[in-house]
Amino acid sequence: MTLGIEVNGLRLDYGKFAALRDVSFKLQGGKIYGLLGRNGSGKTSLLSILASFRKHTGGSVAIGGEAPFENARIVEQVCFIQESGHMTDGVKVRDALKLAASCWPNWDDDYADKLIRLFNLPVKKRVMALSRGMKSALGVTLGLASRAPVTIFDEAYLGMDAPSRYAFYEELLNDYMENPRTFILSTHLIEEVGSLFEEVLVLDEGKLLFHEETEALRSRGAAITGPAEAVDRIAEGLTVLGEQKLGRTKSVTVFGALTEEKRKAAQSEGLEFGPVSLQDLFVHLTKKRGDKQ
Amino acid sequence: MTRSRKHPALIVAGNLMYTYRWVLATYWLVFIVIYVGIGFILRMNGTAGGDIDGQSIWEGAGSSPKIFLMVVGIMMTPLSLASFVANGITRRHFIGGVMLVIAIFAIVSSILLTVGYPIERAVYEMNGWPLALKNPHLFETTRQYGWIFVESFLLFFAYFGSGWLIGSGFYRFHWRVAIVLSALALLPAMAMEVVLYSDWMGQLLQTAFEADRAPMPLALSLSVIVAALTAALNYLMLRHVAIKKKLI
Repeated sequence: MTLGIEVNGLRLDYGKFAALRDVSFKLQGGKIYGLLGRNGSGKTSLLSILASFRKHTGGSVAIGGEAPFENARIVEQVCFIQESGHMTDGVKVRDALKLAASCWPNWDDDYADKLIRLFNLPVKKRVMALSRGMKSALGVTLGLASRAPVTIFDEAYLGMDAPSRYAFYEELLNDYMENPRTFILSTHLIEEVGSLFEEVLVLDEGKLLFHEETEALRSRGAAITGPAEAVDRIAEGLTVLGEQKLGRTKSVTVFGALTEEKRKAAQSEGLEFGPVSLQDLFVHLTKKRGDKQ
Repeated sequence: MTRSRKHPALIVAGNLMYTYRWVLATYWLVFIVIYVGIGFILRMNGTAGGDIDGQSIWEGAGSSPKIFLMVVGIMMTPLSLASFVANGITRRHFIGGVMLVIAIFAIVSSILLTVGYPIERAVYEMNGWPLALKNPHLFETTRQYGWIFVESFLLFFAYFGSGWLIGSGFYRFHWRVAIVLSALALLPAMAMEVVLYSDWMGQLLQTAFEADRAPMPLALSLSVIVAALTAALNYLMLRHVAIKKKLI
């Protein structure tokens, strides 16, 4: 079972501060989405609204065609895992798992056991006694084993060490293939997770900057390298996201569709074209004026 | 595959009961041991003097569980709401579950308090001590177990509910506002004391408000209204509350 999400003109105010402004998008069910944004861009606010942790100020949200807030039919289908989590510190890990098992309709005990072994989770320890990495591992175990049709991880795996994070990515992908559902991953570790995303949403200062298929977004950026004068000629009229210069060699990162004419001209001048990573695109697109100086 | 699951309010109640089971059991064990010990020492040594002679020791036992349940009530929302909402439970069902827990804890505590009276009477009779109640109650003798239970239940429910309101206030509002609301949150407990005129506090409040003891049917009706208001006020405070990461 998968659920789609539709957001229209979403607004969230914290007093006089607008955390989200006129955000609209439509997510098809059964895909892995990446939600990217700088600190304070509104990612957690948006995800909190989707998970009914918070009521929005304006606009509308629909999950599976229904408004999610205080809607029992929908909230039991949306699992939201944050890094610091919402588990009661005083309870033991096995009790946190027991609570989750009793709450999520699609909970898979066998899969939870497998993940407990994979991450070496100490089930007899209290949550407060767990290291940051182990708390993250417990969070991703709860999220994956919930098998919720909409599963959201908000930096949930940040505290895990690299081997555990890669084990998580592998598990997520395998489980997604076997049990298709909608995943939304919010992260700053774009290089690591970027390959999982089918579509990417980029938030900046509370506004939705982009919502595109990952490959389409990547193909809109290119790195052009070669003699400085030739590079400048080709880059003229294009949106230059960043540039680096070493001696007479220059490399620019451009954003926007390159015409065939420009491409041919560049090739005839011996310029090199390279792909731009999702992380580089994200960094350039969300750079503030202050950062550029 | 989707499993059938219990009603969400029952899930909340079951998990809270499981979480607090040892707290409740340990409290009552320690409380009974201490209370019986104090009563035994007072009686055997006659250290209490004339004031306590012939009075039920157990009659005063209700004060401590009331405060204990109020403290448990204070912890309900700040410690548990976020973890239930994070597990796909609505605030509405959380409130329903907590109401069930309040009722069950109040019932268990009331049964234990009620059972104490015949035990105390047996001890008094064995030793040939006179036994009398000091304060007015819904019951007139320590043999009216039904009324002892009803009075205890209503008081425990109200104190637990007041504690829950205090905790919800701190979760919902800034602490400065919550402190002011805490005073108002005590109203259900105080109202129940006035209605039931159960011990010194009820007596004091009735004197302060120049209120007469309400007739039994009215007292019971008012008690039910106080309990319903407690639930309604919590619902009003929590129905749209944003889930915070960590309060404590």
